[in-house]
Amino acid sequence: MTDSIDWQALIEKHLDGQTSEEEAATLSDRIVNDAEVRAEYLKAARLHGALGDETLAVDLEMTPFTAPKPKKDRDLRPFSRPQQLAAALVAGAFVGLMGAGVVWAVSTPKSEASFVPIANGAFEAVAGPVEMGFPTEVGDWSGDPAEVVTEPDGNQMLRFLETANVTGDPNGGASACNVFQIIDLSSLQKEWGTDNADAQVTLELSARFRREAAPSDAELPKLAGGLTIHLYQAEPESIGKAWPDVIRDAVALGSKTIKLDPGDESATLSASCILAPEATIALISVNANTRIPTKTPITLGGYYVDDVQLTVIKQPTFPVRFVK
Amino acid sequence: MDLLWKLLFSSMPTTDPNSDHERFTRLLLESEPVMLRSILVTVPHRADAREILQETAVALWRQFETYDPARPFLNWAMGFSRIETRRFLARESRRAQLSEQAMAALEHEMPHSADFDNALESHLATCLGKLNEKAHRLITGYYHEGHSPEILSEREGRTVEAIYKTIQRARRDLQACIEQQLAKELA
Repeated sequence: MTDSIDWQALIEKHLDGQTSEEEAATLSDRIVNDAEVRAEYLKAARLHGALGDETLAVDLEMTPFTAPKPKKDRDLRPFSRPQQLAAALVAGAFVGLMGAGVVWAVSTPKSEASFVPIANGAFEAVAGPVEMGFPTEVGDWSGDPAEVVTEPDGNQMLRFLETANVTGDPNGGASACNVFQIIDLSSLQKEWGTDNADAQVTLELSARFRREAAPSDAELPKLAGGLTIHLYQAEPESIGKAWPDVIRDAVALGSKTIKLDPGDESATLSASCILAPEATIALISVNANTRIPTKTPITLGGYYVDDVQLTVIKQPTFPVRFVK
Repeated sequence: MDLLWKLLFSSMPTTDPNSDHERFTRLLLESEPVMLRSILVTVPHRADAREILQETAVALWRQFETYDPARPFLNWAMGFSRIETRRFLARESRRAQLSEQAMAALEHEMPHSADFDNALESHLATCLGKLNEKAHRLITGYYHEGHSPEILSEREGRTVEAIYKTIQRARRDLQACIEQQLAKELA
């Protein structure tokens, strides 16, 4: 898909019933002759079909909206009294519409948010190479080849150097450079009462990505930055031993990617997941992914990440449902 | 089961309600989601796809006595849905259509996208949860409330173009999210 037509846009236009006869003919020819466009069409059509699926309506109604992003330069505290009242009034409006009383809304638990400590989340502690290999204990970054670099203004950030297989398996995939950290959730669970049915506690991982030009850029058209958060009910050292099969045992996970062009403005990305009551540890990672299926390490160099933050957010569960 | 299905089944001859009719109903209901999604690949408009599915169900019932239970029902039924799809497209010209060759190429490729389909089923709800509030609201309005971008534009106080772009972006985010989950599963 290297020519001037944005095939993905044309595919979406067709799925939305908006293509002209001429555009449909152009797309048809391409589908016949280009396996990549064919595969893209199938994925987009499957998604389009699944999004319209009536059974998914239930999931949409149940799925919480992503929690509001905390401001980096603001100390996070429980919402102020006016904000609590505003939330209560909003809840009251919905509850009132659904036939229940407004009194419930006034006694709604307050929304709260707080940072969860991450070791060296801003990469300001030390400069130099990050420890290699999968982390075995709580408390610092380690993973594939990466280094903490210092900018002219003194700010430090993490630079992804090379893709690798973090377990060291020569037959394993090496399409991404991942840097991990394990975080203990036990005290968080006690403090935030995640087994309380009246409130929902989510963890939001955020980080700021930047991309500069690098010699390998031309060979890496799909290079993207990303972050993930996985929650496990497990001992920290057991995750690395069973990686990556252990991902199937995650009790919650969230991830997000962003594709920046060299020189683009830096962008903050966030991924959330529900803090499941049984989770004992969180495995967070930041990465640069070439999206090239390979077992051979690939030199990167242009992707940077900074200001990794983890926020716990507790919100009252509002019984809001969509009515057709 | 929606009203149309009920009407369809109530109008069917029930020669032996304890065997054929019930067996057919069960098989059809089991296969319906997969059939509908397959039809949606070549006929993306949901109401059109549902119409084809209903025609397919009628054709399947008429030919049910020829069905060999040793064969998978879905495979048998998919042949009928392809025929009904072609019939529908031959008589309808409301929207621009893909060529016969393109449809055949997609149908041939469908089994090879099973990994993505499975990932879609497993992770779509989770990935929807990661959309921001605005995108989530628009996806709900567009797909489940059936509003056009024009209606959503009025409701949101934004231009139609901005609404459509947000929906497009949300779909791409969802696709990326699902692919990422799939890549992890395959890693």
